[in-house]
Amino acid sequence: MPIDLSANHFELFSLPVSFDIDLNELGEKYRALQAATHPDKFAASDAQAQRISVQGATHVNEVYETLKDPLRRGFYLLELEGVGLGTHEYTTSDAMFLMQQLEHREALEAVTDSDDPFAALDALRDVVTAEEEQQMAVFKAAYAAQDYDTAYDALTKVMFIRRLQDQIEETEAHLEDELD
Amino acid sequence: MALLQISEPGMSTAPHQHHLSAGIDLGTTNSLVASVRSGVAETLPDEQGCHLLPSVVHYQQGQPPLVGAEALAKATVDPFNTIASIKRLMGRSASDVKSLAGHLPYHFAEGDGRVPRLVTAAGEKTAVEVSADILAALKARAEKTLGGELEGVVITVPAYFDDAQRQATKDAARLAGLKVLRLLNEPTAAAVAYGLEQGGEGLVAIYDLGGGTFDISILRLHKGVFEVLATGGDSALGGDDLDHVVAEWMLESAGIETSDDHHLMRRFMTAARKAKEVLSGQPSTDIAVELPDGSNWRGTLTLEKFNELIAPLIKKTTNACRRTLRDAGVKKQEVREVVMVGGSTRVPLVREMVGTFFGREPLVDIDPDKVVAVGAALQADVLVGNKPEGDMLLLDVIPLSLGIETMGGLVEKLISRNTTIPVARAQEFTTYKDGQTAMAIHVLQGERELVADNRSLARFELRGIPPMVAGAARIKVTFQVDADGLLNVTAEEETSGVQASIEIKPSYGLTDNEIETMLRDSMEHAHEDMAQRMLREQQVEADRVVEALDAALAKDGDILLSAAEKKTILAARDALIAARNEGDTAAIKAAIKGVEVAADDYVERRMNSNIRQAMAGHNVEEFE
Repeated sequence: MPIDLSANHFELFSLPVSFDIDLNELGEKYRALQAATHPDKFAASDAQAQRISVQGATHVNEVYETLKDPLRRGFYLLELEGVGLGTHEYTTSDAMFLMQQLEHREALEAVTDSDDPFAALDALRDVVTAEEEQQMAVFKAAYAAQDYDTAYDALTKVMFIRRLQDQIEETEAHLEDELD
Repeated sequence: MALLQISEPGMSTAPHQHHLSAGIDLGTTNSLVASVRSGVAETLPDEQGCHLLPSVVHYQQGQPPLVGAEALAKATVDPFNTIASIKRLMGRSASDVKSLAGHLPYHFAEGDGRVPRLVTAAGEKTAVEVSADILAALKARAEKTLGGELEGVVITVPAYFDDAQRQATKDAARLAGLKVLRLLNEPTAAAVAYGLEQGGEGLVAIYDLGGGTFDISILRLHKGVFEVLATGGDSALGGDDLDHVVAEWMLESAGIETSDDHHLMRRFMTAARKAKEVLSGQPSTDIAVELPDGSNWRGTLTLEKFNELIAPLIKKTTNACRRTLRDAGVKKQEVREVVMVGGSTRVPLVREMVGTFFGREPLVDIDPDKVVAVGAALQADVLVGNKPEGDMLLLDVIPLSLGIETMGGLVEKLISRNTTIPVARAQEFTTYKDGQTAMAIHVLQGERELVADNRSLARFELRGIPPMVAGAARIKVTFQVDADGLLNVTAEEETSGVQASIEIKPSYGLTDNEIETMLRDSMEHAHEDMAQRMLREQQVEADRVVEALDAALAKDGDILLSAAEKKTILAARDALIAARNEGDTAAIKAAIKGVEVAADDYVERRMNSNIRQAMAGHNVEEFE
C-alpha cells in the first residue's frame, strides 16, 4: 500500500484527533495530498506506479469526504473508540424524535398545496437545520464526556434529518423545474 | 521561433527531451486537434488552413474512407454512406438509436442489438470504428505538423458522458493507434484553456452547448487546482436539436408530414443549420429548399420565431444549471465567472438566457469551438511529462451515480454522482445456496430507484467461489472508478482469500475480443504490420519507463534506497534497455514487468515521501 493504511484519517492529514476541524486547513491539506498522489502526476510512469497512485488518490478522497462531513466525521471518531455497527443499532428508539420526524414528513407532503410552497419549504428547512445543529451539539457534548451511547444515538438522528433534508431539496428542485 | 525537437524512434531518451502530445476534441459536429509548441497551445490546421475537421466520414467500396470536408460534401448526394453526428451513437444500444431515428437517417444492420451497426458501402461500421476514422485523420494531421509520432493524447468527452460512452471513446482511440493519457471532461478542459485559476480563487461555471451534448460544470479554483464541485447536463441535447426543431417548423410550413425521404430530410436539416447560423447576426433569413418534385419551398424565419422555437430547449439547459448549482451546494450569486463553450453558444438567445440566469455577462473571449481542444493540449503536455514540476491539478467528478441491482428490481447506490474521482467502494456479498460457486452482479448508472429506469452498464459474473454452506462465503467486490471516470470491478472471497474471476458482459459497447479483431482488420486494410506496430508501442513504453525511473532516481534514489536496492533496480533497468534494443516485443514486456517488480517498494516509498513533504507544508520542488 502506498499510504500507510494503519494511520488513522487524522494522522494522514496531520490533524489532531478531534471533532473540531478548520475546514479551510482541511481543504489546503487535501489539495496538497492530491498533488502528491493523483494519477495525473504519474501519467508518464509505469503501470505499477499508476496503480499505486490510483489507490493513494482514492484513499485521500475517501478520507477527505469522511473528515469534511460532520456526520461522517462523528461516526469515524466513534469508530476509533470501538463504537459502530458491530456494537450498536443503526437507528434510534427515541419515540418523541421519531414522531417529530413523521410530522415533518407530513408537512413536506403538504407543501405543494400551500399558497407559497417556496416559503413553506424554507420554513421547514430552517426548523430541520436547527434540529441538526442541536443533535450535533448533543453529539459533541456526549463524545467529550465519553458517553458514546448518547453520542451514537445523536448521529443516527442526524441521519434521519439528512434524509428529510434530501427530500426537501428534491421537492424544491421539482417545484423550480415546473415554474414558467 | 524555437526549433522543434524531433524525437527519432530508436534514439535513447535524453533528459528534458520534448515529448510530442496532443489534445483532441472529438465533437459531434466538428473535431479539432491542438498541441503545445514553444510553450503555446494552439489548434493545428490542415493544409488548407482549416482548424475544424467536420466529424463526418464517407465510406465507399474498396477505398479508404473520406473524413472531414470532403466527406461532408457527399452528405446530400450519398446520405447513407456519409456518417455525421456519430458521437450521438457512442456507447448506445440499438434501442437507444430508435429514439434518435429522426436525427440519424442511416441504415442499421439487424444484430443482437447490443452494438448498433451502420450499413455502408464499405461494410458494417460501429460508432467506435467511425470515430476511430476521425481520430486517425486528426492523428495524421498532428504527426505531420509536429514532425513525429505522438506519444500520447488527451481526448475530451462531455462531462455528462456515462461509463459506456467513455469506454467507447477510449476504444476508438485504441483502434486509431493512439495512446490515451487521460479522458478529460470538456468543461474542465475549457476552464484550463481560459487559465481561470490565474484570476485568483473562486467559483466558475462552464456552460458547454455543443453539437449534440450539453454540460454544465461548477468548479472551485485554487492556486492551480481545478476542483469540480458538480457537473450536470444532457448527453443528447445540442445544436443538432436546435436544427431539428427548425427543420420541423419548415416541414410543417411546407405541408410535409414526417418524411422517410432521407435526401429531403438532409436538405431540410442543412437549410435549418444555415438559417440558425445567419440568425446569429441578422433579424431574419429567407430559406429555400428543393422539394422532390423539383419545385422549391420558400419561407422566411425571423429571429423572434426562431427564439420561440428553441426557447424550450434552452430552458432545459438553465434548469440543469439550477440543479447542478444545488448539487454543488452553492448559490448562483457566488459564481465569479460564467464561461461559454461550444459552437451552439453563438446563438444569441443562448447567451441571453444564460446571462439572465446567472445575472452576469458570460465570457466568450476564446473561440468557443477551439477552447476545449486547447485545454486538452495543455493537459496532455503536462501528462506526457514535459512539465514534471507543474502545479496544475485537475480534480474531477463522476457525473452519474453507480449502483447495483438488488431484490425486486431496485437499485442500491454505491457511488453518488459528483463524487471526486478516483473513488472506490467495497461491498460484501454472500452466497444464498450451499456450495454456490458463482454469482452475478448487475451494475447500473443513473439516479432513479428502479433498475429499468437506469442505464445498464454491465453484468459481472463471479466464478471460482470456494464451495461453502449458504451465507458462509464473504465476497468483497470492489468498484473502482479511475481518473478517466471508468469503472473497474474486482472481487475476492475473504475467508479463503480466493480471487474470484470476473467475466464482464457489457450491456453496450464492444468486448475486448471485438476490438482486437477490428484492430487486426484495420491494419490489414492499412497494410500495416501488426507485429511491427506492437513492437513500436512496447519500445515507446520502455523508453517512458526508463525515463520516468531515471528522473525519480536522480531526485531521491540515494535518499530512499540502500546501495543494494538501487543496484537491483538499475540491473532491471539495464535489462530493459537491452531488451528494448534487441527488439523482441514479448521480452520488452517482460523486462518492463521486471522493472515494476524491482521498483515496487521504491514507488511506494516515493509516494509516502511525497505525502510527508506535502504535509510538512513544503513542495518537493523547494528541496531542489
